Amino acid sequence: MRFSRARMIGLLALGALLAAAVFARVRLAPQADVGAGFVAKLMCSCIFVAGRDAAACRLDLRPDLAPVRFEALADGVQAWVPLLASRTASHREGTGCTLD
Amino acid sequence: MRIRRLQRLAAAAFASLGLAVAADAGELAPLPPQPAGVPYPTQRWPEAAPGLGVDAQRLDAAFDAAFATAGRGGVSETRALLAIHRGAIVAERYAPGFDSQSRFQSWSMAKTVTQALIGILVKDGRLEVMAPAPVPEWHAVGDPRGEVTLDHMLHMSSGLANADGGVGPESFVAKLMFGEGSRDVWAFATAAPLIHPPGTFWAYSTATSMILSGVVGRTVGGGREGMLAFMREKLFDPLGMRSAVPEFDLAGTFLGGGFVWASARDWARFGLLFLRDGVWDGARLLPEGWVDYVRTAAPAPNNGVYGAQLWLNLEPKADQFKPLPGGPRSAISVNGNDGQMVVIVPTRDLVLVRLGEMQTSTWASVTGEVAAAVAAFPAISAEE
Repeated sequence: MRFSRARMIGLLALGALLAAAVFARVRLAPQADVGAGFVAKLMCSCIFVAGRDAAACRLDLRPDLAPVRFEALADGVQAWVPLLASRTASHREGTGCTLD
Repeated sequence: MRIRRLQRLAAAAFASLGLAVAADAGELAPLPPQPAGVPYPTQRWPEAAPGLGVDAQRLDAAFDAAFATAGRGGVSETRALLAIHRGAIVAERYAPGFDSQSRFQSWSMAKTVTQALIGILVKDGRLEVMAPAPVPEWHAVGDPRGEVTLDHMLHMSSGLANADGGVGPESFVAKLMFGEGSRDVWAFATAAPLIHPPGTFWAYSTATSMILSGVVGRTVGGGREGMLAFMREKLFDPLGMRSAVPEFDLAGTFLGGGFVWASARDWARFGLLFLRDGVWDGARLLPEGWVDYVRTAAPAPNNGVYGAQLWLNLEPKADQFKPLPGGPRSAISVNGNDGQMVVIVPTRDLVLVRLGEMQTSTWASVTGEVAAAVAAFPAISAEE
């Protein structure tokens, strides 16, 4: 069976995409996991243990953590890198913040 | 000489507990007693004007300089600076947005808290530092890690392949604290294989401190709540560290390698405990000889400045740094990431607390600022 040129290019593109996805999972996911864990833990403790406001806490985070998004919850902080990782740190009175 | 004899007696008493003092106790500067008439700060901190011999102008200038460097958000890099001289607060300053009630993060200063907890259990006869560490995971037949002692780990000389390995997201310490190891730091940290004979190679390891805090938790029992109760009853409450908040992983292990929060005044209380030889207002909290043990350099040949979960102001070996360049030899330092420091100077009856950030400053600039403040205080002993 003969592949048309267009089909060949399509297959190659699909392969490249798959390779990128595997690379992302294997290489970037652990880094994203660490980044999300770092932001969730530090933001949670800064807000709930130190009692500072989220904006001030955010300023203390290193600029290279900018790709990590976060959201303050009622009793913790969720942080994530889209498609790669998400971690939540939960606050408990007396024992601070714990990563899930 | 009376002090030498007392030190030898202390060493002998310590040895009789089944421990050994690693070096000649005679080299250590005497620890000054609490001055008569000055109450321990269990309830409230005594405050005083800088006394006789203190260069108040120089101290003020050092404080000004310490608050002069701004971080990314425009807030001073130094967030809290506190000087305790002869048992009383003589200088205290906070950056805008912070005060004496604010809690600050320990980072690695938590390691010294863990060390104190180990000491408390040694005093109670529940742990022995020279015995194989009570880590069941290492005691299968033929496992060389069975020879690792608490002493090796306190000295950051376990020989395990669990050194911090830098600060990036791929480092061992990042995976331990925030990545794959963070849900159960005990499992992650104890899984490391042995790569050096125990006691022969110094390597800074947050994982090792996590194992030590795990040992404390497993010894006292009761999980997270049991550990919290133990920490409060035996350490935080006696010192009056009412702001202290230790943090835990999901499995319930105290994160003794890096996470305790407390006010600057409470960190100063913790420092004063070491300055007073582990005795607080007449009650011995740490075993006799413990403070001398922890302020004696770990014997591994590649170490010069690390004691037991504590930094010493001695001569560094390759890849180490002096905690207080230009400062007295007698100084010991409880250090944490981003320039957290509780500096204890026996020969000046001084505790200096610096808490804050290191966004635009460096260890060299921060330690320089702290050393400048220390220099305002007079030496009370020739053996600096």
